[in-house]
Amino acid sequence: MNKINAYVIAWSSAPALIVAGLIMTLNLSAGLPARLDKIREKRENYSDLTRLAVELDRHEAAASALKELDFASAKRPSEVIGALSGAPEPAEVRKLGKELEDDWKLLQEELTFRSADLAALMPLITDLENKSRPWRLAKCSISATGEAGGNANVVLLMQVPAPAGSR
Amino acid sequence: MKAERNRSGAISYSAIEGDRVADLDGPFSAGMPVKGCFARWIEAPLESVSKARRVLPTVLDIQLPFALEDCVYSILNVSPSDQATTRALAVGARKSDVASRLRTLAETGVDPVFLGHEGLALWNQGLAERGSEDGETRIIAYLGAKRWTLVVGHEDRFTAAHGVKSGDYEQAGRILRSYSPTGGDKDSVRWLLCGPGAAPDERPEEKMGPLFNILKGRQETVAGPELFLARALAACALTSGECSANLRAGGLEHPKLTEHKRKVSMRAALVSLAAGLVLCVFNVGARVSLSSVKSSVDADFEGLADRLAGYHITAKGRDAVTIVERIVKERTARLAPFAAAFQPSLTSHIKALTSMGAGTGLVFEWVSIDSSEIMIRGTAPGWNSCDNLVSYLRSNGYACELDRGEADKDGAIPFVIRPLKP
Repeated sequence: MNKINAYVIAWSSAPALIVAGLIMTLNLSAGLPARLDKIREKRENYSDLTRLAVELDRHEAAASALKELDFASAKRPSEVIGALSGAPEPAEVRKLGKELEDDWKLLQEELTFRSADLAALMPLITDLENKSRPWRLAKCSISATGEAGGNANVVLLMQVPAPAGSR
Repeated sequence: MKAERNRSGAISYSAIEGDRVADLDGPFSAGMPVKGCFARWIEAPLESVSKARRVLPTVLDIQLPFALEDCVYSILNVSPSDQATTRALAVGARKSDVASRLRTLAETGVDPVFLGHEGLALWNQGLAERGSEDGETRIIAYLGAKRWTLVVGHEDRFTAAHGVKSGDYEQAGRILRSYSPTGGDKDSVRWLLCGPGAAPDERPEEKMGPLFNILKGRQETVAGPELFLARALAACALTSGECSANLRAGGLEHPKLTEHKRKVSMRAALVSLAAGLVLCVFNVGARVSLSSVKSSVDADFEGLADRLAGYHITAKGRDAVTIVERIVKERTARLAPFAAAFQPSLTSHIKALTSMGAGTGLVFEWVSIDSSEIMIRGTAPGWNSCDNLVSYLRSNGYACELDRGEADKDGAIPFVIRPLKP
């Protein structure tokens, strides 16, 4: 009796399971492209966010690293030039600046050299960055004067983000 | 006689020691005498074999002198003929005759699983042991103690089987005369003698002389003629083909065979059940897997979006990316001066510019450089003199383009390197 029951159950369940499996397979395969597209779209969106996160993290890491620096002993570029003997003197020094977030401000100095000898000015630019850290050269404009000897008018924009209250 | 079939399909025969059949193990094969069964060719007037299969039992029923319902039968070798009809070989026996034969066998201690048509078995064993020749009419004569069986066929095709009492030459002669070859010289007759009466000491040629005169032809005696029928029936039970029809079928089927069929069917059911289960489990697994991937991506996305925005974003998908992108742009713009402080120094670029300019004879009239853009105006001694400079700038992240003008009177080529327009 048990054998017959098992036989009947097996033969009645097998087609039902196969049919159910086939229906599920058909259903799955019909909706599969749409599901995969959806997952691909989500991954693309996530990938876009990851790219933004890398960019933001880089900026935030830079900000937190900079906030660790010692600004009290940092010298302004114009002060560094004054201390260097024989360095070309800027014809004009303009102190600029703008507010940043969290009570920080961007300190800037625009140094203008007129008819300067470029060969003599190059070591000065390097010295300025080295001796006035964390000040950095942000922009440089060179325009030929037309005179013989490679002289040029040079404008150097030095800048540093610093806590409000720094010199 | 014990017969076994090996993996390659070849059948091997061996003698059985001892004489008590009841002591033997294993399934038995036995034969249904030709007188108690039938094997006849029937024809349905249909070209389609599948349609003919449905009609052939009716055709057989009409031809039989008793009701088909009272018979055990098989329809074999269904094939289309040249006359746009379908031919088949019907093999069967009355149930009462089969039951009677089984009772007789049971009295001798034999309970056969397979009960074959002796005529067909003899014919097929004849072909297996002595292959057919073109144009040959073959008569297999089984010479038993009480009965003779005459099986007739042409080339490899079975025609009919007849049973007569041993020594009934008149009846045997009538049967044989109806098979006189009509094909002239091309046709030949070949006698195959077998059975206990075909043993050498029984002098079968003398015994069959009157019949050989009716159908003249070559006469041969098979090897081991006494056990030829036993070999034939065993081979039928072990092979499929036109002699494989088991007359012990339906209600008379051997319980072992019924059980074997049930087991095979049960195994098939279990395999189907397993296949169905695998299919269902695979589907459920695939759905769960897809769902899990989706949830995982969603969770990662939401976590990152919230972190970048600094608050919980309710928007989803591309809308969320747009919101986060705006927030991040604002934030990075505010932090840009901090990031700029860690970018490579401009002095290395300025040094490279002046060095390359001096090396290739470039004259710079105006240069402006910051961390993201560069603009240079000047003159070059040759058309390609700026190429190295432009390559250097591009490889250092400056997206720029080179614009060159006509050479002036000194041959110098004015050029401008400017930021690439977005």
